[in-house]
Amino acid sequence: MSNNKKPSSEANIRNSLRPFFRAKKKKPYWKQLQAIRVETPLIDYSVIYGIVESSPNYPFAGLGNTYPSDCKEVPNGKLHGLKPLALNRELALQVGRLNYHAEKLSFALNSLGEIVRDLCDSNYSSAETKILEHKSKYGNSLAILKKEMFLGLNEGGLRGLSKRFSKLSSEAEGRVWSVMCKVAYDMLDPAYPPDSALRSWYLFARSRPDTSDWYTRLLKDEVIDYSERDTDIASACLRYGSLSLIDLALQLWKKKAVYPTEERIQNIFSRLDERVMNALSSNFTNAKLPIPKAYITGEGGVSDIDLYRVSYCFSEVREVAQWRVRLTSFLTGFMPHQSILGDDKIYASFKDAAEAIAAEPRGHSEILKSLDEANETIASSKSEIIRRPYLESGVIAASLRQMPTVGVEDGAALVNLLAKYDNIHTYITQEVLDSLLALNVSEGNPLLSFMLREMIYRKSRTADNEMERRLAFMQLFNGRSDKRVSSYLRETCSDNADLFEFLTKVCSRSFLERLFMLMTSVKDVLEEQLHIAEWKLEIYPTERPEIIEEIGSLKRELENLEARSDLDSTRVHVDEEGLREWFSNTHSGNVTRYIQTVLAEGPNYEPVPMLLANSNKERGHGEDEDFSNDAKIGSEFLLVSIMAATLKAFAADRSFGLDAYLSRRIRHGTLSGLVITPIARVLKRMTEAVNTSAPLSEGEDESINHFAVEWRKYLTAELDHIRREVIQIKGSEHPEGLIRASWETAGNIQHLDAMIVRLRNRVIETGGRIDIFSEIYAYCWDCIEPDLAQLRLYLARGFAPRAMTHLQGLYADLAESQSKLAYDFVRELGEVLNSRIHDVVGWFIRPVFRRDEYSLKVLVTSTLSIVRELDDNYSFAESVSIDGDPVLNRGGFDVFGDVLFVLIGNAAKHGKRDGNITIKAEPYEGLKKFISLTVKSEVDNSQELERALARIDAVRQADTSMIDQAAVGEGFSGVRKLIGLLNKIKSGHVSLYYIPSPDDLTIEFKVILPTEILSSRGAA
Amino acid sequence: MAVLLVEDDEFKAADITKVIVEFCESTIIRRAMSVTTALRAVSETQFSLVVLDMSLPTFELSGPGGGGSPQSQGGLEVLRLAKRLSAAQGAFVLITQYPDIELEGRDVPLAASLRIIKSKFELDVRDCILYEFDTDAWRQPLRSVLSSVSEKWGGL
Repeated sequence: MSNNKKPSSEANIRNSLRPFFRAKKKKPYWKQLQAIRVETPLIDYSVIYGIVESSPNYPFAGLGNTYPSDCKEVPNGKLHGLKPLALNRELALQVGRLNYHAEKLSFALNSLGEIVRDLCDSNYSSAETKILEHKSKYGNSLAILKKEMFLGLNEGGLRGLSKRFSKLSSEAEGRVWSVMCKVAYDMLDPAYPPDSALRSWYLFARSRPDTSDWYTRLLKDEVIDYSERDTDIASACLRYGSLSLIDLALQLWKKKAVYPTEERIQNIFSRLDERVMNALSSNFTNAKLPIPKAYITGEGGVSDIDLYRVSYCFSEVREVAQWRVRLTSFLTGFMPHQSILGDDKIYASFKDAAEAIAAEPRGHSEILKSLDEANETIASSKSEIIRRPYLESGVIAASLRQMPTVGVEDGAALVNLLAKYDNIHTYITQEVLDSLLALNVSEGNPLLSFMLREMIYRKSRTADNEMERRLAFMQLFNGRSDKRVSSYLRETCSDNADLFEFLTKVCSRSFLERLFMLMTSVKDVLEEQLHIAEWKLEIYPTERPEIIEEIGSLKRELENLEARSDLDSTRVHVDEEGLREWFSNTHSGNVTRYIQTVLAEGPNYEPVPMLLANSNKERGHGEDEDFSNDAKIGSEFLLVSIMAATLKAFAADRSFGLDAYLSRRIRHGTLSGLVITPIARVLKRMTEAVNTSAPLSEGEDESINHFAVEWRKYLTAELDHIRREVIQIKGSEHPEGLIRASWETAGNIQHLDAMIVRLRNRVIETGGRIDIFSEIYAYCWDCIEPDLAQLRLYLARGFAPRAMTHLQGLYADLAESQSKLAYDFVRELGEVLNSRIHDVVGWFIRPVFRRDEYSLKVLVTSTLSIVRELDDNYSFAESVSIDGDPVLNRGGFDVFGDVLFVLIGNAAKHGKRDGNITIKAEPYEGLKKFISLTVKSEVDNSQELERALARIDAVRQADTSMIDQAAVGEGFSGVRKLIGLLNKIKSGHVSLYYIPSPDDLTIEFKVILPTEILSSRGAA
Repeated sequence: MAVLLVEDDEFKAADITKVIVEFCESTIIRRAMSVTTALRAVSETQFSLVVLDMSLPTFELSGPGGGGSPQSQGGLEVLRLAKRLSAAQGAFVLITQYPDIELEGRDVPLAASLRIIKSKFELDVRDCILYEFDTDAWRQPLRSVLSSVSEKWGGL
């Protein structure tokens, strides 16, 4: 007979956990615990705790953590697979746990309460002692971690915070605990705006897959103190339970504070053990927060940004949680939930203020002043909050969110508001900006319309948005006879400094350049930039040095405009100005943080060598997930993240990066044109000559025509492959790409470590007044240099011999009658091919590593090394003599670089093996800025000398149009192109001579060139 | 009717002009050699056909200070503006030496890019033609475009 009696919940629970009872072998247990959580009826919850919680017979502390002694298990990764129950059930289950542990938990909460009071009363040493005692009795918790980080900051500012971080995180490297330490570090870092930290961590959490909820829910709730849906609240209870009982209790308490009208949360507290309830209400209801010295700036007072930072460490206190949520809600707009903060009066006053500003933006200053009381609810009496940028930005952002509904009419007031809060786009969504743009008031106010377009562009830098903002800007000039941007700015902004700031920031060179209805030439752009800078000098006389420098530089450019040439240089290129503009737009905050961190770390700090730090650990899954890279602090890591982002833009940006240049110049006609055209010409001459003199005999089927077609087809296909796959940034789309643009190689990491030390020293020496861009830019070239060498080698040692072998193969198959006649042509084909490849190789030479100057000496040395690298049989005695150390500007560098590559390359190619190559540079006839450069080489014999001179003469006699087409023409290994290049430099002194010496069997090339050449890159 | 030829390369421009003139001798061809000139022309005048290169300098190379920043997407800039202009636009044809066009950050082969460009810019883009200076393969597709545009406008 079967027994139909249903087993009791207790029996079910025991059965589920039987495999773990005194088990010797450890195995995952979250599935069994989840089954118990799901299957046990609500009414039987009390049964669970007696079996599961704190039983020494099981390998777990309970349904979650209790008082974890090992911070590696905070949160408990072995519970990662648990899923939240329905909100009611989850709340009941977790409150039941708290009640089960009520006695010890209430002591733990009281102990934490004492620590909070000590910290608020600035009794830091007492707090330190109590924290030690607390941890020994109640283990680790997120709540105590935040107090410890706060103590670190108080002890020694950013350095103290950093030390405390290292101490706390080192025991759990790669675990979520270390990430929690990093979140606290970021939120407290005086050099990092906490709203940026908040957004960064919130987005990090959102970017992780759903299976990561076991820690991302913690991150989200930590930074915004809010869970949107029921499932999120339930998940928060579950996940905080996997931290510690203390964190679970405080999380529920915080939810009670910020969801005053959410009945399910409020009601659960009626079931909470009285001892726990008392401990929570007596210790965590209100607090007056101290402001650490590290936040007090030279101006004396502190801002609500500082208070916001501090509040992170005390967010379990009811009033602090409410204050924080109010501000976060307004700053982020993440919290649309109606029940949040319920009828909280301060929250309501913020909302009223936002509504009032939405209706009447002109009155915003007065309305904001009326909110004075709000901050004082949690700031200690010693901390006078004198600035409230967060409150103001939050309320203004909220008012902007409402304006589309309210229907604002005062466009001029809105213009002033946006100019004053020019960072406000950070706090609102693009949808809000779009809605504002659609209002009648925007349509009738071109300036407002432009400012909104500009903000939309700042949020999303797409080509469409860029075009829209330019059109909106040009719209400002409709109906104006004076189309000068500088005049418009003077008229519009003369009494509005905020608007002046806003508009001048927009008017960068690249922006002005593209105002097609206003600017017709580079000269127009430079003149407008100069006028704006001159006016800036009138307005900001205190910032004189920077502005005077800018004015001087613009004047020099304008003076030299006539000499400016569009040198059709093919040398690999990155638009440094474009990259610099991107850098300043996207990284100025990060750079400030980096500099302040270095200053705080001080001169004795030893950065972690990246060779050790860069372990390249793969992120795992579940509890094995590795968080090492997410939890690193220190200026060196800040610099690395800035550098990594810059390197990515440097290589891959399609408007100013290397990839843009490759697309524009290398990958299309230039490459195939340069190689195929001269070959096609030789092939044409060859087929004509051979077919005329030696028509095929009967039975001969491999004709010269077939040879020509096949050779051309082969080269076209090869070059197409090189263009499409090889001269590419390596990635999933281009696995064969030779440009890796990676800093994570042993060589580049060594350079990186050197840069870290160098920059640190300079930051400390200058007190932080340095421009780090130039160093990073130079480092990007360092990273690319090995890739360029690979490309050069691929072309010279891979492609060239392969193509020659194919050529010889085709020649061998030629009919005998045609083979003889074709011989000279085939030799010429080989020579032309090698010469073209040599030219292409010359494109992939690093151009500059300093913004404005480059040493000719270094350039000669590096060119020699490249020529050596490309020639297996290089065996020349080199003699280099440079008078002084001439400095070239960027254009000068490009031209001298091309000249040296061609002349030294030819000397090596045609010169006598084991002979001499002599390179000499000296000032030309006493002119400081002109150099006479000589490259002299020996030839084997007088016949070789005559042959070389004949080739050079042929090039010299070529007509102008052929020289213009030098990139696709044929000739003496680049000399023709060189002549074309020199022709474009507008100076009477520029010249190229060659001096043969039949007695010595030498050829000497002499070039006179200016050291400063203004150049801009023409499009292909 | 008029044709706007947006092309900074003299040799290519001469080749294209030859095809247009062969097709219809009386066609008025206006030349733009930079993005700025092209954008101005498109915003001021209506053309029955705009022949577009992709990679262009910002300003005319002959102007004071040279061409300014090169714009590898210059042709698309012209289409972007044309889309924004309320006046009805004529037809467009892209003639480029690039076998691919970068669209939404990806290199798209010319054959596939026509559909994407038409849909993105919502303009009458007739073709994307690969120009090779040493072959004649590009001439016939251009003639076809001229023919179809001519039919629409009753002559170029």
